[in-house]
Amino acid sequence: MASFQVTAEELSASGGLIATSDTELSASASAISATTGALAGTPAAANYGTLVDNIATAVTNCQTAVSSAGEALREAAAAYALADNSAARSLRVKGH
Amino acid sequence: MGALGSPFGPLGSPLSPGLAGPLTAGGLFNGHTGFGFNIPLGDPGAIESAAKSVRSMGDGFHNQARSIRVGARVAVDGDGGWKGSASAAFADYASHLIGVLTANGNACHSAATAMSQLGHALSHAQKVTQQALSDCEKASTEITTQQGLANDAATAENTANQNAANAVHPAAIQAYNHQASVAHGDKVTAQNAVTTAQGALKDAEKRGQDAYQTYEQDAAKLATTIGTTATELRSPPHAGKAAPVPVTSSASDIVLASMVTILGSMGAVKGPLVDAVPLSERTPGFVNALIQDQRRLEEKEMHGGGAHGPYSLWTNQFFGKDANAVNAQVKSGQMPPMPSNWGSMTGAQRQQYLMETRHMFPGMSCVAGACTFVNATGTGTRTPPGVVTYIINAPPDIVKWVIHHPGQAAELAAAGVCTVAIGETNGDAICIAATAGAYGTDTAVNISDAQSFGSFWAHQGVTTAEYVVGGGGGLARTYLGAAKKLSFKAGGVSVSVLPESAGGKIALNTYFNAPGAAVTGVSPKIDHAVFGPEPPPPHHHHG
Repeated sequence: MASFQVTAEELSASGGLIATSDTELSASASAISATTGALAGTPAAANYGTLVDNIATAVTNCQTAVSSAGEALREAAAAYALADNSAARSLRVKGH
Repeated sequence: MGALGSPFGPLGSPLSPGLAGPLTAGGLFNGHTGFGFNIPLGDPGAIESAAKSVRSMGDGFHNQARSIRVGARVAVDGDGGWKGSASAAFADYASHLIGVLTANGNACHSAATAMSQLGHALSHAQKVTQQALSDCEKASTEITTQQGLANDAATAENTANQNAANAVHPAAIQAYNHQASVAHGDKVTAQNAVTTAQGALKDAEKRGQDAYQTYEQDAAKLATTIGTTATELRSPPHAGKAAPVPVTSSASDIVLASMVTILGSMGAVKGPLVDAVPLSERTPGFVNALIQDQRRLEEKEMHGGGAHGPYSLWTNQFFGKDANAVNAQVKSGQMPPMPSNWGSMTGAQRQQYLMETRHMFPGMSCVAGACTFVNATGTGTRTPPGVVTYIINAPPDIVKWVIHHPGQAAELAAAGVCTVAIGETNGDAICIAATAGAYGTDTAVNISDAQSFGSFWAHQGVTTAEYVVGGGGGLARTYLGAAKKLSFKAGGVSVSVLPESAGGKIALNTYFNAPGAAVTGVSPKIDHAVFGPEPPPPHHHHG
C-alpha cells in the first residue's frame, strides 16, 4: 500500500485557501473600479486611470492563473483521495 | 498685486476658510483665485479612500501569493518535488505566479502610499491657499476702503485749501486751514493704511503662490510615482495556460489510464472507470492520468460544433418549453448545459454539440445522429422504443426543428409523435415512434452507440461510468461476441454494439489486433479488474 506524504484534505484545503483569497482579490478589484474618478482634478488623475486599468487587467490574468493553480490542487486532491480510498479498501480486503 | 474686487465674492463664500469642501474641475471657479495662484482641485477624502482600496488590493495580491505558496508546499510534500516531477512543475508554475503576485502587491502598496501622500499634500495646499485667498480678499477690501478714504480726505483737503485762499476774513481763513490740515492728516492715515494693506496682500499672495507651486511640484512627482507603479503591474507569464497538476504519472500510469479510457469509450467498463484496474494499481499517478484523459475528452467534446462557455442552465426560450426538468438533470450531470452562444449556433453546430457530448451526459436519448432530452421531459415509463422505422429523405425543416427545440421534440417523442433525426453514419433519417411513453438511455438504440462512459469529470472523476458490455483484452469477442451480445434486433434491423465511428474502430482494432508492449503490459491489470481474481479465458481472435 502506498504511503503518501500529503493528504487529500491538505491539498483540498490549499485549493480552498486559494479560492478564499481569490474572492478577496475580486472584492478589492470591484472596490477599486468604483474609484476611477477619485483623483480628478489632480495632476495624477490620468496616471491613476492607467493604474486602475492595469490593476483590472492584472487581477483578471492573475485570477485565471490562480484559479488554474487551485484547480490543479483540487485535481491532485481527487487523485490522492481516490488512491487513498482504494488503498483503504485494499487493506480491508487484505484483512479478510 | 491682485485685482481689487476679486471674483470670489465676500468672505463666507464656499472658498473661505472653514468651508473647505472638495474642489473639482467642474467647480464654479476652476481653482483660479485672481491673485496669482490657484486653489488646487481635488477631493482629499476621495483620494484617501481610493488609496485604501489600492492598499487592500495590494494585500489581496500578497494573500494570494501566500495561498499559492502554501499550496505549492503541500503539493511538493506530496509528490517529492524531485526534478522532472509534476510537483516540481507545479512549484515552478507557482513560483512564477508568486513572483507576479508579490510584485503586483508591492506596486499597489507603492501606489497607495503615493496616493496618500498626494491626498495629504492636496489637503494642506487647499488649506493654505484658501487661507491666503481669504487674506487677499480682506486686504483687497481694506485697500479699496482706505483708498476711498484717502481720496475723500484729499478732496476735502483741496476744498479746504481753496476755500482758505478765497476767504477774506482771517478767522475764516484759519478755520479752512484747520480743515485742510485735518483732511490732510486723514489722507495720510488712509494712504498709510493702503500701503499696509498692500503689504498684507502681497504677503498673502506669496503664501498662496508658494503653497500652490509646492503642491504642484509634489503632485507632479507623486503622479509620476503612481504612473510608474501602474507600469509595474504584471500578468503571470503562463496566464491562460493550465497549471500542471502536482501529481506525477509514470509512463505505466499513463498507458494504463489510456487503456482504461479506450475501454471506457467502448462502453466496456462496468462501474467507475477507476475500478477497471486492481486496487493495488490505483496510484495517485494513475488516477491523475485517468482524470486528465477524461478531462481532455470532455473539453474536446464540449467545444464540438463551436460551442463555447460559460455554460449555463437552459432557458425556456431556447429549450422550447419549461426547462426546469432538464435543468435539474443538468445540475446532476445527466444533461448537457446550454452554451453561452447557443442562440447564434447553427442547427448543425447544435447537433454536433449534443452528439459530441452525449457520452458525458447519459441522460440524453441519442439515436444515430441526434439527441433528445426525453428523459428529462418525458412522463411515461422507461420502456424501449416499440418501433424503429427507417424513412428516407425526411424533410430537412423537421430535422432542424428537432435540433432547435430539443425540449419540445422530447415531449412529442414521449407522447408517441414521430421524432426525426439524421443518421450519424449513413445519412438516413430515422423516425422513432415511442409508443409507450418516453424511452431511456438504456434502450437498445442507445446501446448501439456503445461509446458511453458517463459524466466522468462532472462527477468528480470516477463515479458515473457505464456498464460492461464488452470486456478486457479479447473478451468482447470471446464472451459477449460468442453469446451474441454484441448485436441486437431493433425494428427488424440488426445493429452491432461495436463502434461505428472510424476512431472507435481504430481504438478497438489497435487494442485487439496489435497490442504493443505497453498494451500487453497493462492488459492483465485491466482484465483482472474486469473479471475479478479468476484468470480470463484464452483469446481466440485475430482481427
